[in-house]
Amino acid sequence: MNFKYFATLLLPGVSGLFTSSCLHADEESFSLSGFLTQGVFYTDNNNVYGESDDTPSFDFHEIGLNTAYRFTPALRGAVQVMSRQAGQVDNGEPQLDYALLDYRFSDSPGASYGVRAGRLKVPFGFYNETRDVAFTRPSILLPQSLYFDQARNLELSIDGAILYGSMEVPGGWLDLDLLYGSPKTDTNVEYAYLAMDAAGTFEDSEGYMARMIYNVDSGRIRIGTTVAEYRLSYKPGAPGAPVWNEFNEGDLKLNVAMLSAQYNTANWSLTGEYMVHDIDWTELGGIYTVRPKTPLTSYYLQVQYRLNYNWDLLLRYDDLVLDGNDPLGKRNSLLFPKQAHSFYAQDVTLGVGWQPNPDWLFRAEIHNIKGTGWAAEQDNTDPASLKKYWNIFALQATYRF
Amino acid sequence: MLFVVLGLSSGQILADSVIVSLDVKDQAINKNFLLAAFSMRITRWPDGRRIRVFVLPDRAPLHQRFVKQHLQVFPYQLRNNWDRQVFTGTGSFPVTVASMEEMYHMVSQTEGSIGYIADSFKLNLEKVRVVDEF
Repeated sequence: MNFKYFATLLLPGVSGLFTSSCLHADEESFSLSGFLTQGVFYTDNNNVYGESDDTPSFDFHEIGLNTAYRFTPALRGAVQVMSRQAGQVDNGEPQLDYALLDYRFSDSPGASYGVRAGRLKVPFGFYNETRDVAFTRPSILLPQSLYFDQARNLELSIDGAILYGSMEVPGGWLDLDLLYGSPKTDTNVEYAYLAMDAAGTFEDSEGYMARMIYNVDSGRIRIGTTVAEYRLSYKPGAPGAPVWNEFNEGDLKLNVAMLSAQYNTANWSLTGEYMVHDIDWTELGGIYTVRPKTPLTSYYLQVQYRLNYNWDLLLRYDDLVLDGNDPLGKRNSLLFPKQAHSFYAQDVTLGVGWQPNPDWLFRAEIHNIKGTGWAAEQDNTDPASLKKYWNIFALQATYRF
Repeated sequence: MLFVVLGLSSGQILADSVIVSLDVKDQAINKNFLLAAFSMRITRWPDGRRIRVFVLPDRAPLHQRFVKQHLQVFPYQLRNNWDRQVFTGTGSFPVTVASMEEMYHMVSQTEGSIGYIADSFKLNLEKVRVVDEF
């Protein structure tokens, strides 16, 4: 089943209904929200979001605009358009972030469930669905070991359908999402999983994902698990491509298993997530023939402290190992033209947020990083010049409406 | 400003009340229902009609107190839930009203609505239903 053009087909229908309904929509059923974010990044080594090495890079913005309309008490439609500029990773071109119809069969606290179809946000861990919305993330950069920016298009939206539900269970309630669809693939996905812009492309894709979050004691404790399996079908390019740049026709297989946990008090939130991400290049071969499978392993531990309405502090340790069988990257650096520190990253982040009123949020943060496992190839084109130890200083301003 | 409008001081302890519009009858409003409705996690009354939720601004003392005492969550958790739903296209924000007078007015005028008031507010309560048993 191919969902590739599903959202494109759905959108004219949804937007048509929106235009005709807006005229007599009441405030409660029609809504328009959005946000504007501008970031500045400065690094002492390596680049992040543009040429940030020793000169501040302003090459980062996120703009989103969304609207929703309730056709009947049970049927709802929602659309969000997004522009994201992020160095060489994202070019700011407006993208359809989600466009969905949501039908809810049952709606009671005991059990509410329904189905959403169209272009959907990917329910992965605690933060993925709203990763580009500054107000919903605890820091300027999400923990890159789990929410790698490089593979973002794969993680961002999916064209397909989600069965969702929420039900009361002893101690609290469960939120469930079961997703099937066609993930977005583009050149950035090639960079993330093939470490290059390959001669061919990922033509087709298919994936399913299941997430369950157990909310205990009114959400004071949240325990979640996400499992996913993606297949990306690689189609070689024109004959004659250099050997290092080409792969066999076949499927790249991605499997993800993730555990998430959070503990909330009035002032504190403690959050941790752990992921094992199996990547299987066996069918593609090429340069990966020498190491056809890896278990990517990552985790982070994060402490947030809210001083009052206006101020919050963040401390986080984030750890990425691209090949769990070779945590120091020694063997991998012999197999691939990359330095050993390109196969891991340990990031200590210290951040502060200031929200002078509900519409504005400012953040500042420092990352002290060992390793370049998630430094984007697109912004760091020469792997030999990457430095093992680096620091990022980042500022961000965001406005919502 | 809000302190003046609501006639409250932050030191006062008041038992606040949930109010619903008069057309909302015989509903099983318990703690789970309240949390699910104010979180915008459920959107319909048991009879299938839309729930219309009214709240005061996040930083209003009455909102803070109501959320902590009646819903037994922290206001930032409620805000996180709303934001997550709106920015994934899966839900909407409640309607924010500026004052307790406006809350009373909107709940009395809107079918299927739910909100809250402080017990110090005793004006014309016959236009809304006060829900105490949950």
